[in-house]
Order: sequence, then structure tokens, then C-alpha cells
Amino acid sequence: MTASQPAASPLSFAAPPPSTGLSARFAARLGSFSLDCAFHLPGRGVSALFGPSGCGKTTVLRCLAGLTRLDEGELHVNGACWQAGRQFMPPHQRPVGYVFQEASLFPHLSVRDNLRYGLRRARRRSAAGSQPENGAAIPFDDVVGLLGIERLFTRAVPQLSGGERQRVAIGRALLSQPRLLLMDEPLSALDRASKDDILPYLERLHDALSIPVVYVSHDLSEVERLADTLVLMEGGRVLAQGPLPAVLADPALPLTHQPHAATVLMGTITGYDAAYDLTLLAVAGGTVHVPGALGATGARRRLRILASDVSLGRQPPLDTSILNALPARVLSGEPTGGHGVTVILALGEPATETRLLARISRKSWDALALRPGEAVHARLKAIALAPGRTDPL
Amino acid sequence: MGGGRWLAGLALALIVLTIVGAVVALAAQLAPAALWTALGQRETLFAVGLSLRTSAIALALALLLGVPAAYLLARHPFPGQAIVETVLDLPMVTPPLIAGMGLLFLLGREAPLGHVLADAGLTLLFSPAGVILAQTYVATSIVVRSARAAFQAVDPDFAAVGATLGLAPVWVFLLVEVPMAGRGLLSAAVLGWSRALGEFGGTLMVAGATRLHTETLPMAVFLNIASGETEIAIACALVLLGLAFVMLLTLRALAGEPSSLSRKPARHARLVP
Repeated sequence: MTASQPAASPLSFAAPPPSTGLSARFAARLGSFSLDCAFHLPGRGVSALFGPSGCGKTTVLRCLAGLTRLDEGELHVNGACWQAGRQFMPPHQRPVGYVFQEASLFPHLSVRDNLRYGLRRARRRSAAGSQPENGAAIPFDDVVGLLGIERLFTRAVPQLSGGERQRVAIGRALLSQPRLLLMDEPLSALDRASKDDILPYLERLHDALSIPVVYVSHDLSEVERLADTLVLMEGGRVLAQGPLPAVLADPALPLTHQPHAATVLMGTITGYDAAYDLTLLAVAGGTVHVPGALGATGARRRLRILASDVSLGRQPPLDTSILNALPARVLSGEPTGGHGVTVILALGEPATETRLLARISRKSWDALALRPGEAVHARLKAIALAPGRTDPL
Repeated sequence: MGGGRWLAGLALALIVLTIVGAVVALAAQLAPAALWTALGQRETLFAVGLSLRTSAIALALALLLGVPAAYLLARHPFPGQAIVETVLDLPMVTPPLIAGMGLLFLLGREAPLGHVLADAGLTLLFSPAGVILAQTYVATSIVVRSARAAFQAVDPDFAAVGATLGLAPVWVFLLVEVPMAGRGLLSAAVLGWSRALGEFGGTLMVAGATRLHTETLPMAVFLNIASGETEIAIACALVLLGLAFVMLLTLRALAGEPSSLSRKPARHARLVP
């Protein structure tokens, strides 16, 4: 199964749309820009719409919320039709939470009153009896605790920092009991420090929410930390869509060839070596050691591995300071830049294999005489761990 | 550089002195006792009462019509909008006397519309209702213009937030847009009221200048100056001047404080230590 899908083939809705997840197709000419996007997203987890500025991802997000209505649009969410042909559910009737690029908290209201705005609709919904379908409601205390916004209640909006404001905006969106959470580059207006401050909250959110989240971003590192599914966009088209690790390591796509190409490995904690303060994580194809105490045995963690931090050898590494090495299979070598080769590797059994990228020099590629199908040992010089996350996958 | 600044300063001084001179000259016309007597005259009191009542009703009508219209213009562009906006600005630039003449011909007994109104038993012309009509006509134009600017200063994202939080369009307007444009809308109301209160030319045409019937404050000034009863004219002029001062102070207060309501706060403003 490949992650990429030809951009020109729109999803067909001749068959009834699946009853879970989100199926969308939007198309229009907007001046000189033409948009034609079709994708299907799973009913849980974070799906990232990723692409350069101006590729149409925010337009797509606004279409999902009903804030923008294009000439052509079809949208089904968990089996319910939100848009098809002339049928169009207006935004205030869609159970979505929307977090804007700049937290649009109402500045004439206090933090508490901003949060109440979310509750207001939730109450009306439950009074109308249209809310409790499957998933349970998102309780007020959980949202407040998850986002750490309790001590902000009495503050005036202009007194909040950028990160605090964005957390309150997320809280307000969640309290309206959405069936779908839409986030439009929620970190892009923040400085580095505020971003680092808010990312752990987003990761906790990812683990706690049972509703699908669509997250628009042009920052790959955010996507690598948060997303489960990746929809890659360019020039108003969907280049590829699929599980994040598969899209990241698809040689047909531009991500693999960029300087900071990376892959994401999902791992399970199997133990902790107290003598060296190292946590053991089982990943496809073996076990890796990661510095620090990362949590209880059985917890899931996400590892981000830069292609440039992976070197290859034919023999298992001996006499080396490198702690982590995994047996791997070469799938292909893709020339990258003038003297580099990006090697696509498979880890683990073919049925459950995960991909890994290694960026080596062309000279090394030739010296090792690597060919597709051959077994190698991938040595991991560094592993970046997205801190504090567990993964529901 | 120095010489140019001196000349400009001279021009500024000339303008300020002329304004102050006119106000002082007006105020100095009557001794306090005479002013008090003139203020207590039945005609003065009638003019004050009629002006306050008609201008309040005119302002209410102007807001009722002008604010939703301004919202439409600010938020939902439509083809031909530029033409509509030009038409809306017309009452601000036409002399009210001319506008009043137009209304007179539109609503006169011989005109089709006036005929219909007369058959319905509505007497607009040469009545206090005509005063309200003339005042509403000039006030609405300025209310639309100012309110449109007030709505345009509110980031449309806030309306989108309201919609995604489940507010139907009418509630987005009432709970989000109006409060956030509040300061600008209050200025629009003050400006509209000042136009209504000072309306003269249109009123003269549509309502006529009938003592103790359609005699607003400006009309009282005109009638009494014309007939030589300067005391009442000056008393009415000073009442108008006083109201103008109150409105000026209100406008300054509305514009003076940083308008945190209509704009998003700075991205990283952190006032807490």
C-alpha cells in the first residue's frame, strides 16, 4: 500500500461514504488559484494538512468549518452529510471547534466568559437532545486541567501571553463539545518559547481526545510531533495522504529529499536502566535506548529520527560509542543533492515494517555497494523524543 | 524651516481665536439675569423640548436603519456597492435645504408617494413628524458612514469564531459584532445626534418654521433673530452650544482611551509581572 495518491483522481462518492472519519472534496477557481482537493481522514487522532504557505490548506480548513463555501464541495463526517451539491450546513450548525492562527478571544470578555461561550452552545445542544450520540462529553474540569488554564480565569484577555491566549482559545473550542476540532496553524503567531510552552499541551490533547483533529501547519517539526495522518498539499492539490511515517519516507515525495528529512518511529517502553538513566523502547526491528526516565512500562512514545543522524554498516557495530543500532533492509537509494544519497530502509518484519531514512554520502553508498533488498545495520547517532507523549495508535 | 512653521502657527492662532471669539461674543451678549429670563420663556422651553424629542426619535430611527445597513456594507460586499455608497453619502454633501426641497416634492400632496401617505392619514409635511423626517434624513447618512468604519475595524475572524461556537448570524451580529464595534457605534450615534440637533435647512423646507409648532432650537434662533427678539435667539443658541460641548467631550472620551475593544490586543502583550 502506498501513501501517495495521484492528485488528479478525486475520491468517488458513488459508494456511500464510510460511517467513520471524514471524507472531503473541495474544488473551485479562486482568481488565478485553482483548488481541487480530496481526502479521507480517520475518525480519531490528529490529521495534519501540511504544505507551503498559499497551498490552500487554510481554505480547506475553512471549508470544513463551513466558513468558506466553494463552488464544488462534498463533506461527510462520521456518516453525516455536511455538504453535497446544493446541500450546505451553515457553520453555526456544524459541531466543530475552530482554533484560529491568532487566538481570537473576545477582548471585551474575561477569560471565564470566553470559555462560557463554548459552554453556551454545548448546553443548547444537549437541551435539544442532539448531542449524546457515541462519544462522551468533554467535561469542563478535564479541559481546564488538560490545558492548565484555571489560574487564568479572572484575567482580562489583553493580559494573557500569546501561548496562554491560544490555550484558552483551544479550551473554548473544546467546551462547545465539537465532533471535530479544526486548528489553523495555532502556533504560527507564537515565538519559540511560547511554542515550546504549548506543544506539550497539544500532545496531551492528542492523547486525551476521542474526536478527530485536523491540524493545519507549514512547520514539519510540529507535524512530526503531533500528527498521525498526513495530507501533503501543494498548489491547491493533495500530493499524498496516509499515515505519517509512510508519507515522511515516501521517496516519490519532496519531504524525503529536504535537508532535515526525518522519520517517526512509534515505540513502547519495555524497561528502564536506572544505572545509566536510560529508557528501553521497543520499536520495529529491535530495542533502542533513550536518555531519561520516560514513563511506565507499556507506555507509547514517539521518536523522531533525522536522516542525517543515521549511518549504515554491513556489520553489527562493534567498538563504537553509538548505543543504538537496528537491523534494516535497503528498499532504495535516492540521489539527494550533489553528493548525497537518501537511503530508504525497512525495519522489522515485512508485514509490520516501518520505514527509516538514512542520509549518507554517494561515496559511502558506492563503497558499501548497497543494493535494494540487502541487509544492513542502521546506527542511530541521536534520537529526538517528543517529550511526555503517549500514542493511541 | 523656521519661517514656515511661524506662518503655520499664525494660521492656527487665527483659526482658534476666531472660534473662541465667536463663542465668547455669543456668550457675552446677555447678562446672566437676562439669560435666565430668556431661558425660562415658554418659547425657549418649547424649542428645547421639541428639539430633544425629535432628535432622539430621529437618532433612534437612524440607528435602527443605519447600523444594520452599515453592517451589510462592511461585511457582505455586493455588486454595485460603490454606487450605493455614493448615494448614501449624498445627503452629507448636499445642502440640507436642497435635500429638504427634494423631500418636499417627493412627499407633497401632488406627488404619488405623498398622495398615498395622505390617504393613509399620515401628515408628514409641516408637522413635528416632518421635523423628524428631515433630521433622520441627515443623521442616517452619517450614522451609516461611521458605523461602517466601526464594523470594518473589527477583525472578521471574531465573527467566524462566533459562528463556530454555534451562534446564528443574528446572534453573531448582536453578541459579537455590535459589542466589539461598540465604541465606534457610540461615536456614530453622537455624530448622528449632533447632525439631527443642528438640522435647519431640511426642517425649514419639510416642516416649515411655525412658532410653537415646528420650532426646534435652530428654528427658534432663526425666527427670533428675524423678528428682533435677540434674547430668546441667544438663549437657544447657547443651549445648542452647551449640547455641542457635551457631545464633543463624549467623542473625545470615546476616542481618547486606547480602543482595546475593536482591535486585537498585541500578540505578546504581557502586563503581569
